[in-house]
Amino acid sequence: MIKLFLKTASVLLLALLTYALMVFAVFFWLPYMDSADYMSAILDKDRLLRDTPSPKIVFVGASNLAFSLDSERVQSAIHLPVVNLGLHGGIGLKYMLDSTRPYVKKGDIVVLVPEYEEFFGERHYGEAPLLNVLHLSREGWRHIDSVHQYRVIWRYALTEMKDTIHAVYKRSSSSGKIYSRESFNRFGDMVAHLKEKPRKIESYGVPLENEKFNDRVLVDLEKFREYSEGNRAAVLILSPSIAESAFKMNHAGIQEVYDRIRTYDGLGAIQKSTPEDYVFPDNCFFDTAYHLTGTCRETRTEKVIMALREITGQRKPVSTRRIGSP
Amino acid sequence: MMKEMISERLKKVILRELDLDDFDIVESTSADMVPGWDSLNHARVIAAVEDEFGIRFRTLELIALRNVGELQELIDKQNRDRP
Amino acid sequence: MPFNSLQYFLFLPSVLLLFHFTRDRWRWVVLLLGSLGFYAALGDPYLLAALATVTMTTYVLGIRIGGTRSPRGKTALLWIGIAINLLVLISMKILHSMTVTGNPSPSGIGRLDLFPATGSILAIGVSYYTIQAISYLVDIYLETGEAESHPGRFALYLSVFPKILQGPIERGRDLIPQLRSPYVFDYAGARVGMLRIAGGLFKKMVIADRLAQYVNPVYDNVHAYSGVVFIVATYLYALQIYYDFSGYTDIALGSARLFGIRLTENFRNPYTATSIADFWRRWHISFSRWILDYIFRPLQMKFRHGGTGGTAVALILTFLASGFWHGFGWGFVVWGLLHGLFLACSVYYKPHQRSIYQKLAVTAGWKSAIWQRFITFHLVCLAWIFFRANSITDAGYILTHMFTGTGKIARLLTSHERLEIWICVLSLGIMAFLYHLGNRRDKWDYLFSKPAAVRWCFYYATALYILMFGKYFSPQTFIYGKF
Repeated sequence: MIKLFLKTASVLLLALLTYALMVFAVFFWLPYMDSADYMSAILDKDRLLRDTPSPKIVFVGASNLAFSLDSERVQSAIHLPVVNLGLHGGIGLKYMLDSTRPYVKKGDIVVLVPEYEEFFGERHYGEAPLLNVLHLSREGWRHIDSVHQYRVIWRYALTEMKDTIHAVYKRSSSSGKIYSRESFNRFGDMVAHLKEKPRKIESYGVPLENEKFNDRVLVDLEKFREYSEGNRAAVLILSPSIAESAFKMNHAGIQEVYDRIRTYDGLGAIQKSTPEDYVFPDNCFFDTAYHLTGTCRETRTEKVIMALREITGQRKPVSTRRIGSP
Repeated sequence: MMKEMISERLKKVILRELDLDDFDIVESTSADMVPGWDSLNHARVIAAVEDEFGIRFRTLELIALRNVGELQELIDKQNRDRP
Repeated sequence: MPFNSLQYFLFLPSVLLLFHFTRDRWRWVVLLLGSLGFYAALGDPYLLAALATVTMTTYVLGIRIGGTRSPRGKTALLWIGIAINLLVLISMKILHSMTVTGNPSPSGIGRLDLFPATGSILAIGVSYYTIQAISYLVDIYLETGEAESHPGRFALYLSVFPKILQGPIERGRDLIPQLRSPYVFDYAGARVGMLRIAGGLFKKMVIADRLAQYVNPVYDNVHAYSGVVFIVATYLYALQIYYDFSGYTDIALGSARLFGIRLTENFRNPYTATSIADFWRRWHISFSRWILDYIFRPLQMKFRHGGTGGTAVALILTFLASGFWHGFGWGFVVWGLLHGLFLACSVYYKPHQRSIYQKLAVTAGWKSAIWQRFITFHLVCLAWIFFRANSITDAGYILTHMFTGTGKIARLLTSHERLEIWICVLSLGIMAFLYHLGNRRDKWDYLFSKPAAVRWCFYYATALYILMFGKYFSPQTFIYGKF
């Protein structure tokens, strides 16, 4: 019996080790599938975050921030350098917070704009795009500290493997497409879509009602706030820009997100907007219910600037420049 | 004590229902031994036996039947109980 | 706990080791406590109450029926036993359907997710051990079986963990003697058991759960589709439910084998059936034998003077009952009714079959066998539509829109990565190969006759395959697809 047991255990262990080795090989030996694709922009954003001197403004969130924000305008209004880290919600809010945290220094303002789905199910641990990021940026592994994130890695490892191996003998490039690395400007904003005509957005509902609200997201947000304010940086939470039809479809879930943040100790005070503030008509959007384009993007940016002004107005000026001047 | 034999009459009914020319039916013969005596035909055979002997069994007794010998016993019991 | 979970993966070897190293006298205690813990892990006190009720009443009644001389007394006790078990079964099902939206199902077969929305009352296992208990009592009554006097052993007969969740439904004379005989560690048997578990995991986690990805979007949202995609989804569902259920059964039988218990086979290549009657001799065998012996036979006997019509009615009623047993939803009832009707028709048709074949000059040969399998498979699929659809109206929609074009197929096939389709094809191919292999010789002997190196490669490759391609996560709606 013991013999059988040990034999079985050794076969299983061997298989497990093989699989782990395959995953390791993919992430650490084989190159990322397409160094010009949308996700590769994470490297530029990381560099931006590292190299921009404090005090600075950092925007943390998903593609909502990438598409729907004009950082240059924010910078000229607030007179602080701006870093737009927004890229893809699939990276998971947890990773976004953890990877930003080491670079939050005294005098910084961090604007958190989590998309509503992050609060439900296990989404804030990430999905397949997290693996893209980890493949592109080896240092990213330092920020993986949760079992849940390892589960995400296991879940999508096969996909990443397949894509990587496929790219080895059939390189494709996203150059020239909107969703590519070169579509970002020097602040980290996506700008290629601004020249294009808006496409019809599929008015999909983010299916919030099917999943449970995840309290851990609030815990992680609060931990981030505590750390930042401990480093004498300010944090605020703003709502993402969202299309009217998606807002209507998921009103209950969205309201729940707002209420839970509002009533959570420590987070309520830094939530500086309501979901309705950032609802825009459907025709303002480029291709999804989160990606603004055109003048609506500017309107949204203005609202963000107003929220920032409230904060900077309350703080002692850190430089002799007059903050808030037109 | 002489064992109950399977009456010729009973044998004939069974063979006729199953469309068999000849088959050796004894007390220990069970349905699965006889070609064609499957679950679908079983009820028909029993019904035919009842019609032949002019008797009616209780369903409960029939379900417990295991072989032709027990069927014969049931028939004999009915006959004994008749006035 | 479900068979395809980390919990079970840790539970099984722990209980097995404990069982193995316990003195023979007390082994039944280990197995019983393990089984109760296994059932309790579902987290539903109502289930334990149901099991306790069924176990205690059936145990007592079994002994009483065996000991009573008077036929009237025996009959009364039997009916009490049947009534109690049916009462438990029906009330658990009603509770279940009241707290779950959508198609209720007892063992999860209908929706193939073992755990419906949290907060609902599950009815897992109840359907199985209640009818098993009924068969136990009836067998004692008919004197084809005897009562078990050891309460622990009897409890195990009903609740031994490999079979408590989804069967097979064991007759007393098959399982109880095995529980009585002392356990002897059988290396070869244990090895086969583990391979069987691996096979079951392969079927369930690699194939069935993967096919579900394609079936669910269609059946859960019928109005977004039309045309041939319904036919494809139905074929896929036919495969899915087979691999899901037979996979689960493999894990059950394999697990039991580790404890020296041989449970009854439940599946025998069902889709190779040449008639609906043949199908039911190959699909969920323990269940169809149960309804044959305890519902059909008595009914048929009762209607014996109705000729063929009597048999036909008995069949329809039997399969109607089978539908209700699966769940109190219209889908299950129609499914059962369809099978009953198919069988009823065949009862009328069969006596004329030979003469019809002669008239059409059809000879029994491989061509007619293929034709019969084709027809049978499609009749079965037709019934599956009702079994799986979320409502009668959905099923109606599917049937009326089945032939209206091919447009949506591409959409379905591209809804997941192409890799998924390749894995499906490869895995089904492996299954087909093994089936072919199994037809010519005993699969296990073939494997074990190979040198050790070959065997170990096979074990290793199987483990790696399941590890890589198994579906370990419940489907989360994948919002953040790569653009």
